[in-house]
Amino acid sequence: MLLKIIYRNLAHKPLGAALSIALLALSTGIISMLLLLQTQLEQKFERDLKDIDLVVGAKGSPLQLVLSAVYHVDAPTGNIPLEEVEKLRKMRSISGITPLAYGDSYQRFRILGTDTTFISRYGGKLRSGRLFGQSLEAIAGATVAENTGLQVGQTFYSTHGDADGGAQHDHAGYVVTGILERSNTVLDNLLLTDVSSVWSIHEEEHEEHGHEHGHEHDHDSIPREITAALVKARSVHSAMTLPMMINESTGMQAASPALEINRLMKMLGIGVTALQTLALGIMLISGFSVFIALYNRLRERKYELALMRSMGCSRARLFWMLLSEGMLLALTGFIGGLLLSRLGLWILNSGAAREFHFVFRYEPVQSELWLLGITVLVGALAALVPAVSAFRMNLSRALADA
Amino acid sequence: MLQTKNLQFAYNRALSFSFPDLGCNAGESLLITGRSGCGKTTLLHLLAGILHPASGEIKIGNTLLSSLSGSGADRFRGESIGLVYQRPHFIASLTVMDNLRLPAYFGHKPVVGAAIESLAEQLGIGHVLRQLPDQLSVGEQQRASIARAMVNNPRLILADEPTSALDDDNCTSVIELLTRQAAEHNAALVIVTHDGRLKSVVKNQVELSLQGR
Repeated sequence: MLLKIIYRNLAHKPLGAALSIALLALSTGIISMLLLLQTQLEQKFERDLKDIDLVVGAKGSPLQLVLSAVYHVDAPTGNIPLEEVEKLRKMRSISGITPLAYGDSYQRFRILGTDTTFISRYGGKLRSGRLFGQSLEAIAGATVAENTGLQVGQTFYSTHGDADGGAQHDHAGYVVTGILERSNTVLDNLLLTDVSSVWSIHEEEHEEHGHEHGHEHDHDSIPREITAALVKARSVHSAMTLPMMINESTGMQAASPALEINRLMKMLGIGVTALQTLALGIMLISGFSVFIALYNRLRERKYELALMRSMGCSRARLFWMLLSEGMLLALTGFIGGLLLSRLGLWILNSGAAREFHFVFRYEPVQSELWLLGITVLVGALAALVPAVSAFRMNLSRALADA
Repeated sequence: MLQTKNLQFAYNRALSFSFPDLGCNAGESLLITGRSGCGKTTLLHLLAGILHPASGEIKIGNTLLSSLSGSGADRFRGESIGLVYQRPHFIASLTVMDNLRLPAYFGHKPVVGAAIESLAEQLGIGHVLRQLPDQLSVGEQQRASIARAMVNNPRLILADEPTSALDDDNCTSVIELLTRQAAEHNAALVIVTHDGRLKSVVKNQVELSLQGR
């Protein structure tokens, strides 16, 4: 019954309540969306960072190297000679190297020449078929298979570069030998083959162009190059000293993904903090608007409250009723905020997911519980003044004044 | 049913009242008249346990109302006293039916929908139970507020100027309903008013005098 009184009263004059709810929904929506983005991006960055102490690649921006080689979202910085990478393999301070050779793409999904250590690094498991063995065999990640419909045994032709409009290599096609299970890592969005397959596709390309231009090419003159290498150091100490050594003594660049991502997060952090401050400001204003809505209604309802008291409703019960009104407003706003933030993610997902090969998930994160607590607290605080003045109401005077 | 003794109340040093001893049996009516400012409403609020007397006793049935604490008085009022006001006030956002359910809810008594409906039928407002209070005529509103006072089968009904906002026809029917309902429920009915029209209807009368100001 008390709930009915509260609900009916809010519904009776819906405009004031609507403004409060809209403001609350906006602020909790922004905060909840930031929380979701932050948590999921951090998780994603961390997951993809598995066991990679260093990334070795061509000189250039270290952040770009990390983004391209670890997260596969940026263009690579260039190529490095395989010979140099093989030299690194002999070093005692390095315990593992995974070569990466960027090939072409298929329907915007990148074809990556590597070896099987790349798959085990991310804990990838085959859902069907087998790993690539011979030249021009490839396996597809879960998202790739889902979006392109590629199946085991099917042949596909790659496109030069990773743009849609690139020239198609239609002489040599890859055969799909396996599909990977979903691992929520970069594996999901890649087509994997061995390094030599990537080379052979490009040799053919060279030959083709050679014939067209009417002069011969010596195969051996093409230096064996790869794009980057993921390095696992033997110890924390070597992970610290290796970059300087590689940067100074070779023509390559070594970057620490953890450091670079930290830097990136710090830069993003400024924007996040600004948005959070803005959202907290809106939250304060919405708290104030809840206060005004309740306080105005209190003056109109003074006689109604006196009436309830005269029917035997105790002061404490009236106090709780008004406090609950504020908390109910806050709760409604919070639920609206959750819906808003999911709507925001959905828009992000439908717009940019393909571009960044990342789909945001909708399930609530733990910090949203905190947000719920804070929102309800704001509602209760806003209702506190009206509730106290109802508690202290002089019943005799309130009845006589009407 | 109702008995008061040496009842006194003071708002402050300059404004204090002492009231004559009153008594009213179950099923009977008592009219308290007097000019405005003589403490009629104060007396009514004392009898309802809304104000606490400075000294003296109020006894309703076997309960010494004047000895109850604030929340105890709230509870007793909810259970045993029905109030009717000069102008009918309701919770505007609730239907008439829900408004009639409220006394039972706040008075910690079981809500019996059928009983409320038959009471409403008796008072001639059975057809407006689903409407909001604002949609009722003044006469209907006043009858609804009488129904609200009767819902809990109170032992004492207190009416504060129940007729002074009504025309003659409505006045007659409202006072008739009040006295009849009180008699049927075997409740004591106390009416405070300056409405002279009631003096011919209610036999037991007490006139308060302007005093002590």
